[in-house]
Amino acid sequence: MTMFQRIVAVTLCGCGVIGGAYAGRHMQEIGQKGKVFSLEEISIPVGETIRVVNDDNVLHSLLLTAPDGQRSALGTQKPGEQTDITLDQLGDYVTRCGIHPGMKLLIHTR
Amino acid sequence: MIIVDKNSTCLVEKSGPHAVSATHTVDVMAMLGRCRERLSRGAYSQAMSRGWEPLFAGLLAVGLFTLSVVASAEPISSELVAMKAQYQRPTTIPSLPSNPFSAAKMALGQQLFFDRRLSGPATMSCATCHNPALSWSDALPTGIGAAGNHSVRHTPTLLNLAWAEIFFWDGRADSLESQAIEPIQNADEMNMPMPRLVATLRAIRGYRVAFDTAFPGEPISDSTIAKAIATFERGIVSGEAPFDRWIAGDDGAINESAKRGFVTFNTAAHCSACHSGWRFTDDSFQDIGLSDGDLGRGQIVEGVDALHHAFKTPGLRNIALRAPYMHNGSFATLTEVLNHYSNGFVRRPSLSPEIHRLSLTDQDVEDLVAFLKTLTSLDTTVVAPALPISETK
Repeated sequence: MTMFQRIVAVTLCGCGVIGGAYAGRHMQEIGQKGKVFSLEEISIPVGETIRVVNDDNVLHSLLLTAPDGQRSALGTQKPGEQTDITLDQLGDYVTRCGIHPGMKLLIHTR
Repeated sequence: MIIVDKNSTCLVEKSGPHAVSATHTVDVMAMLGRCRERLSRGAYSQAMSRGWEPLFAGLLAVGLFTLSVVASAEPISSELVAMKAQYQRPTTIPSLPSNPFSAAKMALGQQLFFDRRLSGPATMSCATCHNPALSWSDALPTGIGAAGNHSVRHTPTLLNLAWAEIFFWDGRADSLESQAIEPIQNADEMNMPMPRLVATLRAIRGYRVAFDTAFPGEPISDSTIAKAIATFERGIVSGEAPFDRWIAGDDGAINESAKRGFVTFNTAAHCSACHSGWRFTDDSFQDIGLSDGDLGRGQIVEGVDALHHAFKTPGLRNIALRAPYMHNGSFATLTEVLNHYSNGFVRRPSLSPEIHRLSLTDQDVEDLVAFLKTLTSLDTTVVAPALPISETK
């Protein structure tokens, strides 16, 4: 397992299987609809988890570039599916859809 | 045409008000009515039974035939107006904060673009394959490198890349700057190592002056070469076409066949699912079922089966001048392309969910081709610039 894989934990969840809470805390949720993310950028504490939900009617695929430059493909998301991403590096992450690269989300960890 | 405002932002010259016109012809209105009726009675229910909910939901999402419209029986003209509103041209050209536009960079980039000394054997320039006289491509099925070798992929046009997200057929470059210098170094293309190119340019007095003007205090380097070429390429913008005049309100700018083709493009033919917006691309990567074995973006992004055989959706501006077509240059005419989409594609697991049998009629194809021809603009002639001469000892 690479360092990147150790510091980024990704869980693919079926829609509705897991509730909105994560470890008892509010989890930032980002939607995907109309081939755009619901936010262009967010700032979260380092170590937090965000949930990306495919509210769209097309397939999406998350590609994550970490502050250290490491890239990781986080699989595909069918409509209705969601992906949780834990961001353990300090700095700026860039998330794009691998299929629709116009979908871009900047995540700043602090 | 390009102009520059006081803030050094590059602007696309507007030729008139881009207000969406509500004018339309009875012919197109009748067609919309038929499409709506067909959608509500037959095709929609058939599609749902075949598991195409996402496909139709995509259509609905771009506002073409929403269920609310079907249910509320709003005037058909509003559908055409909404359809046309998605194709208005922008008024400014974007650039990266790390490489803001300047006229000096653009002029230097144009010199570099046309200079054969950027290739290893000094036999080809960027313009050899991206020829402005051929809509910034080469009219060949696949490109030819400095050694005379054929590439495996068609040379893409450079039109309207300032708005693109990632670059190359497989999206392997994140910026126009990183894209610009890759073919220079690629052994199968221009075959010029960057250290050698930097040394070559530093030895030419005219380039030393031009770089110093464009990048004061910075050396001639990979970075400044890339920024100059990218700045020039961002200025390669297709001009106003008859289609744009129609969008702007000139009802006579395109003929009735083209108007029917526009509606078919946005409805029955499903083209606008990916060929959307004024550039006619959403920059997405799709497996459109061409039978070659090229994995495309699947080679760049590992572990995502949906990206196998997926290639970047090209924009359609000036498409009638850009034959041959597809990532492998395998189709000579637009009619061949449309027949492929109608029912000529290879069915495989990675096939885009946007691709399905269309069964277009000959009239549909004729109308679609007529529409696509209205995207051709009469662009300003690009002249190869004077180049700095190499000093002789």
